[in-house]
Amino acid sequence: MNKTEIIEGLVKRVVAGDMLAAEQLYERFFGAMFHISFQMTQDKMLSEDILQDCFTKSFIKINQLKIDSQYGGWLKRMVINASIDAVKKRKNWVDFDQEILNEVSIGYQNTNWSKIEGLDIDSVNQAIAELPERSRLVCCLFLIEGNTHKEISEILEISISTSKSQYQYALKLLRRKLVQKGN
Amino acid sequence: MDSKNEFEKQLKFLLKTPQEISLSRSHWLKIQSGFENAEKKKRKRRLSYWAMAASILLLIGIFFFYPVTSNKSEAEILAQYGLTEYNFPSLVQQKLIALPKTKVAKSQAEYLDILKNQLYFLDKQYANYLEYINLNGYQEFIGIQIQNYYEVKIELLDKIQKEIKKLKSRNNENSNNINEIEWNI
Repeated sequence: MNKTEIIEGLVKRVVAGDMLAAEQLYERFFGAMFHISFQMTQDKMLSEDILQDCFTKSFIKINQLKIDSQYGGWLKRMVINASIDAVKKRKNWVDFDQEILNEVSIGYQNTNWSKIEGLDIDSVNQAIAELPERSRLVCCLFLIEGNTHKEISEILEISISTSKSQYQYALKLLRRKLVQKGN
Repeated sequence: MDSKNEFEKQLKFLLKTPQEISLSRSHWLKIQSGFENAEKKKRKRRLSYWAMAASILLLIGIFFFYPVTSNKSEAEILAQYGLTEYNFPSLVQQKLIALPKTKVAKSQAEYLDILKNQLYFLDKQYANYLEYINLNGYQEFIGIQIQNYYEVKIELLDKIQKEIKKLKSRNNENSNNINEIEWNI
């Protein structure tokens, strides 16, 4: 039985009211979903709350799922949207200054984008956590989730060029922080 | 994005590395109880909808199907709605008494039977009026129908009496040639 079939089977059991299957789905997806949410919010408690809400909603509405095997994608969209909403609600949420973005865009061309030796995941996660929130969201959606800038612009309700500029800004900041740490 | 960006590729590779996140049992238990509470609420809501629907159906049932029957007699119904003020029932009774058994020719009996059937037809209608009052309560148009019934019935009984008289007198004139049979209402 492949992964898709296992998920299909679990979803069918949850629809029939099997809580054991729901727990198995939770165990399968918790890690990935927590990672997505935490990268965006950088708040463990908040991400746990988001996941609690999203898993509960997903089980309540699981019979609305048209293709059972797509549970993961469906849940991921739910988690991303909830995480973005949570970040937007924060007091320090500010729109990005377009002038800074323009400067960043120019600076991007002149940056050395070679590999950084001895880089590890913990340092990367730490650097991502220190990014400004909006840049971090764009960075997570682009780097981790593999969304295009068009998709990001729709999710975050910004223009495509803003998404690109913010990503470049994030990448530049990440490199600066990681190089500093390496030294 | 610049395809020569080695740093970006390096980040993507590192971020794809599965990261261990410890599962907490209490987190799952919160989700479980949240789901179960939501299901309970859903069930309660569904139950209350059914209860509401059932009570509406019950009300409709009571309104449409529950017979508003009363054990009142015909005379009581007529009295209740003022239908006895013309003294119709006793008038009808007098007319019926005045129509004792009589002997008429066979062909004449057939003619009188037609009139008698009209009386039966009227009586059936009257029974329907009473049933309607029993089921739906009294309404003015039914009162008017009942008054008409009595008026027509009295007219019909008068007519039968007159016809019998006519026939009798005719029969008396030709008494020898007539084969009479018994007739009553």
